[in-house]
Parts: sequence; C-alpha cells; structure tokens
Amino acid sequence: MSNIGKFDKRRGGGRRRRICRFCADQNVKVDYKDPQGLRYFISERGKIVPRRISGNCAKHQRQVCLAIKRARNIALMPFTAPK
Amino acid sequence: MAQELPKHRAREYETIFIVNPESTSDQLDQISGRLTEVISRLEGKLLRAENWGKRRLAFPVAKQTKGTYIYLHYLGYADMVHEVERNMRMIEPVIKYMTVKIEEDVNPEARPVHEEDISFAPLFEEEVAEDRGAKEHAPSKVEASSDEDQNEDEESSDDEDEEKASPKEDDSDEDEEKASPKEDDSDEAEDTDKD
Repeated sequence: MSNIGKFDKRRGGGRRRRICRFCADQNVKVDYKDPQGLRYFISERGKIVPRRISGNCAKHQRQVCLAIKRARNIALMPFTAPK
Repeated sequence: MAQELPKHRAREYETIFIVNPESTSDQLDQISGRLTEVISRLEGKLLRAENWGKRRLAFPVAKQTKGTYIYLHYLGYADMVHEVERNMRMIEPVIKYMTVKIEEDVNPEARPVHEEDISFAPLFEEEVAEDRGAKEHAPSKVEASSDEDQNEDEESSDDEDEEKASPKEDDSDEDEEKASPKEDDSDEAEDTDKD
C-alpha cells in the first residue's frame, strides 16, 4: 500500500488543489460582487468548476455556486464564453 | 400575502443596477435621486451607494457591451423591493438590475447611516474598474500562492484519498505503474471532452 502512496504522489504532482481555500483562510468571503475572486472557479468556457477539481468543501462550493449565478445575473460573469 | 414585518424589524437589501453607458451624468443624478427618494418615501434607510463606473459587461445587454454599475445597500420593509424595481423598470437608461436580500431581520436603529458612504460619483475611472476586484482580492491571491506551497504538505492526505479511491488497481505494483498513466490520460480526455 505504501507503494501506491508513493506512486500517487508522483502522479498527483500538485495537479489538483485539495484544500478548500475558503476554509484555509476565514477572512476570504465568497462574494458575488467580486468577479475576479470567482474567476478561479469557472472554466474557460464559463462553466462552474466541480468540487473535485476546485477542492472546495461542500459548504463553500454551494456558496461559490450561488455567487457565480448571481454574478451572471448582473452581467459580472459570463454564462458561456466563446472559445 | 407575506405577513408584514413589525415596523422595528427591517430587511437588508442590496441592489445592483446597470445604466446605459451612453447616459449623461445628469441622467445618472436624476436616476439616483429618484431611487433615493423612493427608498426614503417607504421609510427605508439607504446605507451605502456606490458608482462602480463603466465596466465591461460579461455579455451584451440591450445591445451594449459596457455599462455603468450602481450599487445600493439599504434597509426596507416588505414593499420596498417591489417599488424600487418597479421604478427601475420605468427608468429607461437602466438596462439591468438585481436585488439580493442579505438579512431578514434587522433592527434599523442598529444601522447608523454614514453620509460619506452615499455617493453617486464614480469610484473608478473607465476600465480601471476592472481592476477593482483584483485589488480587493489581493490578499486572497497571496493566499492562493501560499496555498500552493501548502499543497506540497497536503500531498500526504492526498495520497490517502487516492489510495482509498483506487483499491482495484491493487494487483501488483508494476501493473499499476502501467495502468495509472493510462488512467491519467483518460482523466484528461474526460476533462477536455467536457470542455
């Protein structure tokens, strides 16, 4: 089993962020008025990045999701983006 | 009908609206004056007003690619949002608006009005407005970079997760070395597919 650990460590190689950045720093609030801060959580095409990629915890993913949807509603963020 | 709140408990709202970028500052004054009047007429309390200046819209609205954002933060009672939004619909240069309820039950006495928070002068020059978010979020960006440093430490927990996730690959170590890069590829293929 320890081998798997080593192997995965090599493979994972920091490709994925696994810590919820909002839990890591309580001062950072999810805010729909701040599209720059939310930009990290959408893909190039403007889709919301899933939790397994972004590393958000469930609670903050819900907040981010709502914030992005609000931001979209007032044209601060795109619904879709041309490639 | 929603039951009306007793007069000493207000609700807290935020309204953002976008004004046609071609409108003059006179028009802006007129709009802001009208909305302020509406809020005070309904015994609401305007706590904060900001003009975010002209910003690029994420998508065209009313054939405009830019818009002047104005932000209002106020306390009000049950009929407030309806009236504010009705007024905005009647004001022609307003091309989009959104109201968000922040808090349900607020004591208006506990929220003093600071005159200096209420200003309809543009806070930011054109396009500089784009940087506003970045400026505000600077600490979090620092955070992000430190996050990545942390990530190295977090690897160990990562490993645990993935160990649990892939018990079926447990046949032999060599097999795994072959199998997993493949898995990786398919992973990425999946990602691109979705995009």
